[in-house]
Amino acid sequence: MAAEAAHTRNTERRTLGRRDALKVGGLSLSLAAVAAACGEDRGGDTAPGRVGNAPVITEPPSYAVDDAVLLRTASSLEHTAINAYRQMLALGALDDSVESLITEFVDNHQAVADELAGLTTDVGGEAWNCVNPWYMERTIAPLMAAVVSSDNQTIDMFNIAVALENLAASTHQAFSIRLDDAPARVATLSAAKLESRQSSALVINVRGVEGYVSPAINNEEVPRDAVGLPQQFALTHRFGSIGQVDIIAGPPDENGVRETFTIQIPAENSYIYNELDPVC
Amino acid sequence: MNDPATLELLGRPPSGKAVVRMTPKGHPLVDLDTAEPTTSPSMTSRRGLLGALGAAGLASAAALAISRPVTAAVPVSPTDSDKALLEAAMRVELTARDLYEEGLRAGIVGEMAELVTVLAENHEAYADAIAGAAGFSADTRNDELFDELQVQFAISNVEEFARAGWELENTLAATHTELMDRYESADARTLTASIVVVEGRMGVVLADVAGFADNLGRVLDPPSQALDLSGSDV
Repeated sequence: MAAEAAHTRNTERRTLGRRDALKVGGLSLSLAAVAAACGEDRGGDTAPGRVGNAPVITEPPSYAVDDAVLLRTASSLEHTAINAYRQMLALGALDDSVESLITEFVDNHQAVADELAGLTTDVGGEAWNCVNPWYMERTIAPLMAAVVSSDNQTIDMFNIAVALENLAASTHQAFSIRLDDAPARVATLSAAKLESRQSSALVINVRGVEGYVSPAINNEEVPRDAVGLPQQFALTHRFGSIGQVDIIAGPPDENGVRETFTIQIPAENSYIYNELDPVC
Repeated sequence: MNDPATLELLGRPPSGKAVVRMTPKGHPLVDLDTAEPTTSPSMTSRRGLLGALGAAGLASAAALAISRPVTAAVPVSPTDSDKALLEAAMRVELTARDLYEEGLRAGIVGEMAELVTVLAENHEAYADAIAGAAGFSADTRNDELFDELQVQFAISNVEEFARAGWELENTLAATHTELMDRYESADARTLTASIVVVEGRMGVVLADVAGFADNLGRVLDPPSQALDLSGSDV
C-alpha cells in the first residue's frame, strides 16, 4: 500500500517536474512576447508621469531662429539697457561722472540699436525697436524695485550698469558667431567691443587703478567691498565670457543678506521671434 | 513518513565523479518551418534579414535627406582658408606679447609691470588658442611688425608705453574684427570673438594709464586701422 502511494507521488512529480515547469513557463513567456511584439497601438503616452490634479501642459510653438531673430533680439537688449539707464537717471542717485558716462552709453546703445534695425531689414526681417519683454519683466523690473528700496543705491546702480554692459557685450559676442550674414557678424562683434569698452570705462571711472585686473584672471577669488558685494573689474576674464552674471542688489534682509539676481544671454525663451509683434 | 525522492545516477566511474547524462529534448516546441516557402531564400536567413533592414534604413535616410531643405552648414574646424588667416593672427598675437615684454626689459616696474605681465600673458594665451584650433605651433611672431613697433615699447616711460599699447590693442581688435568677415568655420569665429572683446577692454585700461580716459570718444571709439593680413609675410 505504501509502495503504491509512493509510486503515485513519483508519477505526479514526473508529470509536473521542474523541467516541465520551466518548459511551460518559457513557452508561455515566449508566446506572450510574440503577442506583445505583434500587437498594434503599443505607443501609449511617452510623457513623464504626473501626480495629482495638474493642469494640462501647453506645448510651446516651435519657431525658427534665423538671422532676423538674432538681430531683433540683440536690438531688444539695446532698448532694454536704454530703458534701465533712463530709470537709473530718473532716480538721481548717480555721481556726476557716472551720470555723464551713462548718458553717453544711452546714446551709444541707441546708435547700435539703429544699426541692428537696419541690418534686420537687410536680412529680410522686421526691425524691433522695443525692449525685450522677457528681460524687462524678469530682470529689469525686479532689479529696479530692489534699487528703489536699497540702502546702497549708488553702488547697486553701478553694479547693474556694469552687468548690463557685460550682458550686452556677451550677447553680441555669442550672436556674432551664429549669424550667417557677414555684415551682421561684423556689426555685432563691433557692438560687443564697444560695450566691453563701456563696461571697462565705467569700472575704471569708479574704482580707478584698483579696478584694472580681476584676480579671477589668475583663478583667484574676486574680493568684496565693505558691504560684501563682489568688486567690479575692467579686465574680468582672459577670454570674453558668455557665462551668466550675478548681481547682488537691494536692501539686506533680517539676516543681512541681499538678493542675488542672475542674468544670462538670451536663449529660446527670450528671443524676439519673427512671429512676435512689437510691444511698444 | 514520506519516502525521499529517488535520485537516479547512471553509475559511478572509478574517479568518483558523476556522469553527465545528455537527455534528448525531443522535438522542438515551436515549429520554425515557414508555412509557405519564400521565393527569396536569402530573406529567411539572419544575414538576409540584416541586409534587408540595412537597405531599408539607407533608403529611409536617403529619402529624409532629400526631403530636407539644403542649408549651407558652417564647418566647425578651421578650413584651409581659415588656417592661413589664423596663422597670421597668431603671429600678430605673439608679436604683441614680445612687444610688452620689451617694456619689462626696458625698466617698467611696480604695478605697471604687473599689468603689462597680464597683457603679455593674455596675448600669449590667444596665440596658443589660435594655434591649437588651427593645428600648428605658436612659435613664430611677425618680425616685420615687431621691428616696426619695438622702439615704441622698449621704453620705461609708463605713459608713453601705455599709449603705444593702447594703439596696439585697438589695432589688434580692429584686425580681428575685420577677419570675422572672412572666417568660414565656427571655431575661428568663436575664438576671434572671445579675443576681440578683451582686447577692447585692455585698450581702455591702457588709455587710463596713458592719461586720456577723460576723452570718452577716444576711449570708446578709438581711431584704429586693421593690419593687412592678406600678405604671406604678415
